[in-house]
Amino acid sequence: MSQIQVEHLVKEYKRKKNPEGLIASAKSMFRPEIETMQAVDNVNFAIEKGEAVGYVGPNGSGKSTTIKMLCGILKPTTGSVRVNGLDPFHDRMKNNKNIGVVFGNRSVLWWDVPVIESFRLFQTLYEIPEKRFKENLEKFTEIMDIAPLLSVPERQLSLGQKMRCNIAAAFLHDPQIVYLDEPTIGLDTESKASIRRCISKINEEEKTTFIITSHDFQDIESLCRRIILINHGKIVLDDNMQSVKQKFNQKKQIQFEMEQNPWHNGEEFICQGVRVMGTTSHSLKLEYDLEQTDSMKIMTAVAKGSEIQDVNISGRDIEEIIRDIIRKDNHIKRSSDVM
Amino acid sequence: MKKMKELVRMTFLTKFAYMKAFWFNVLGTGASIVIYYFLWQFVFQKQNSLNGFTMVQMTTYVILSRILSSQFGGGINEELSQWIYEGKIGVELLRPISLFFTLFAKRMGEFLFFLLFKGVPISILCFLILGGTAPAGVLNFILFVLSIFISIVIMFFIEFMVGICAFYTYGYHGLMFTKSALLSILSGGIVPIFLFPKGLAAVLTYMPFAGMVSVPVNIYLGKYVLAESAKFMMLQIVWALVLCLAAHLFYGHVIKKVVVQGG
Ligand SMILES: Nc1ncnc2c1ncn2[C@@H]1O[C@H](COP(=O)(O)OP(=O)(O)OP(=O)(O)O)[C@@H](O)[C@H]1O
Ligand SMILES: [Mg+2]
Repeated sequence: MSQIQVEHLVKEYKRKKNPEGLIASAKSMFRPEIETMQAVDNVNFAIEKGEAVGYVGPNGSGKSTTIKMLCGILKPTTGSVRVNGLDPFHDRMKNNKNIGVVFGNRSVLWWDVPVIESFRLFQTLYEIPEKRFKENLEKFTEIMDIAPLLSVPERQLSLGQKMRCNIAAAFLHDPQIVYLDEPTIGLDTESKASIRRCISKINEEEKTTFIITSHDFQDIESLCRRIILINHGKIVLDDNMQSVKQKFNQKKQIQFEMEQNPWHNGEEFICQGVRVMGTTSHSLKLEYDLEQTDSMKIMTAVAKGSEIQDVNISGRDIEEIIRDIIRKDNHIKRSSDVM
Repeated sequence: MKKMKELVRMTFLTKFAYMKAFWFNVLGTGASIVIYYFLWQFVFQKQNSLNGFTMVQMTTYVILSRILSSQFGGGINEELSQWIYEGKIGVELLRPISLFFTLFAKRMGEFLFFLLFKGVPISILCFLILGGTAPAGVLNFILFVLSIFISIVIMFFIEFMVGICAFYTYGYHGLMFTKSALLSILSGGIVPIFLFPKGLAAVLTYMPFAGMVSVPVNIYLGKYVLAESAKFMMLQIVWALVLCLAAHLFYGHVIKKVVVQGG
C-alpha cells in the first residue's frame, strides 16, 4: 500500500450568496441563499514513500483545500484519505507526529516569544530526544540561516524571516512526510535556493516524502520528479516531470550566429521537420519538431553551409507547458458547459 | 505533565510581553473594588447587617468577588474565537497534543499569572487599606483555594464553548462581552446572590456560575457549615464534569464542519 492514498476525494464548500441591494441583503439575513461549490472534485492519487510531488494549479484550483484534507484539519465531504494507513482526520494527533507542515500564509510559532522558545516547546510536545533536537536545530539553523533570529520574538520578524523559521520548525521532529503549501512565498532568491537544496537533500538522504504546492515553477522543477496538476478541483495531469516535458514539448527553437548566412536573401534552408522563423545576414532562427528531427541533425546541416559562431537552443519550459494544458482544459470545460 | 508545564511557561512569557496592558487591567479592578466599597458603605450607614453580612464581611466579599470576577474579561474564549475566525485553528490542530490540552494549559497559565500578579497582591493590598476579615478558619481557607481551582475548570469549559460559537457567528466581540457580563451577574460577582429575588436566588445557587465567585467567597467567610461547603463543592465538581462532556460533544460536532479559513 502506498504511503499516501487518496480516493474519490471531494470537498464541497457552502457559501452564502451575497446579494446586491439593500432589500435583498436584509432578506438574506434571515434566509440566506446558499450555493455549494466543489473545491476538490473526485481527486485520486497515490504517493509512495520518498517521492517528491509538485501539486500545481492556478489560483483557487483546490490545492490548499487538498493539503488541508491530507493533513487532517479539514473533513472531506466524501472520499477517503489514508496516510500510513491512518485516516488523518480521525487519528489526527497520531498522524501529526509523523508529518511536518508549512503553510506559506500561516505560522506555527508563538507570536510573542523568541523563536528558540517555540522550538524548545516543540521539543517537549513532540518528545524529541535532546541529542536529536540539538543536531536538527544546528542543521536547520545553518541551512535556513536563522541563527541571529532565534532570540527574536516572531512578531518582530519580516515575512521571509518568519517563513525560514517556520520551515526549520517543520523539520525538527524528523517527520516522514512534509507538506509545503507555497513555502517560498516572500523569500529572496538566495533563501529560495538554499531551501531547495535542503529539501532535495533531505528527500534523498532521509527518504522523506514531500508534497509541494507553489506558483514558482523553479521550485517545482528543481524539487519534484512528479507533478500533479489540478484545475477547478479536478486532476488534469499526473505524471513524471521528465515525460511531461517530452510529451508536451514537441517544438524547440534553435538560433545560430554565423560569419555569413548563406540562406539570407538566397535559397531557403530546407531540412525535414524544420521551419525557418527568421534570418539576417549573420543569424538564422529555426523551429523544429522533436518527433521528426533533433538538434544534432540540424546543426550538422547548418555547419555544412556556413561557419557557426554560436548556438542557442530554447524550448518551452514547464511553466509554459502547464499554462498551455490549463488553457486547453479550461477551453474543453467551457465548451462542454455550453452543451 | 512536562508538556503542561512548558505550555504554562509559554503563556507566562506571552503575558510578560503585555505587562503594560496588564497593569491597566489591575488598576481597573482596583478602581472597581473601591467603587463597590463606597457603595456598600452607604448601604451600611443605616443598618448594621444585611442578611447576616456585617460591613467588614461585605468589604471582604467585595474585594474577593471583584478580583475573582475580573477573570471573566479574559479566558481562552477570545483566542479560540480568533483562531476559528482567522483560520489559525488549522495550525493549532496540527500540534501533537489535543486542542483541549493546548487551551487548558493556556488557561492554567493565565490563572496562575492572575493569582501571582493580581489575585494575591491586590487582595492583600485591599485588605490592608479597606479592611477585611481573615478567613473563618484554616479549613475554610483550604476549601476556598480548592474551590477556586475547581471553578477554573468550570470556567474553562464554558469559555471553550463560548469560543466555539464564533464558528456560527464569525465574529466574537459580542460573544465576549455577553459572556463577561452574564457571568459577572450570575456568579454573584456584582452583588451577592442572596440579593436576587428569592426564586431566582435559589436557582442561581445551584447553577455552575455560583461556583466561580459565590461558593468560594461564602466558604471563605464561613457562611456555609462544613456539610454545606462539601455539598456545594461536590456540585462544582458535578458541573465541571457535565460541562466537560458538553464541551466535548459540542466540539466533536463542530470540528467536522469547521472550515479552516484561508490558504
Ligand atoms: N472557507 C471557504 N469557504 C468557501 N469557499 C472556499 C473556502 N476556502 C476556499 N474556498 C474556495 O475553494 C476553492 C479552492 O480554494 P483553495 O484555497 O484550495 O485554492 P488554491 O488552489 O490553494 O489556490 P491558491 O493558488 O490561490 O492558493 C476556491 O475557489 C476558493 O474560493
Ligand atoms: Mg493555496
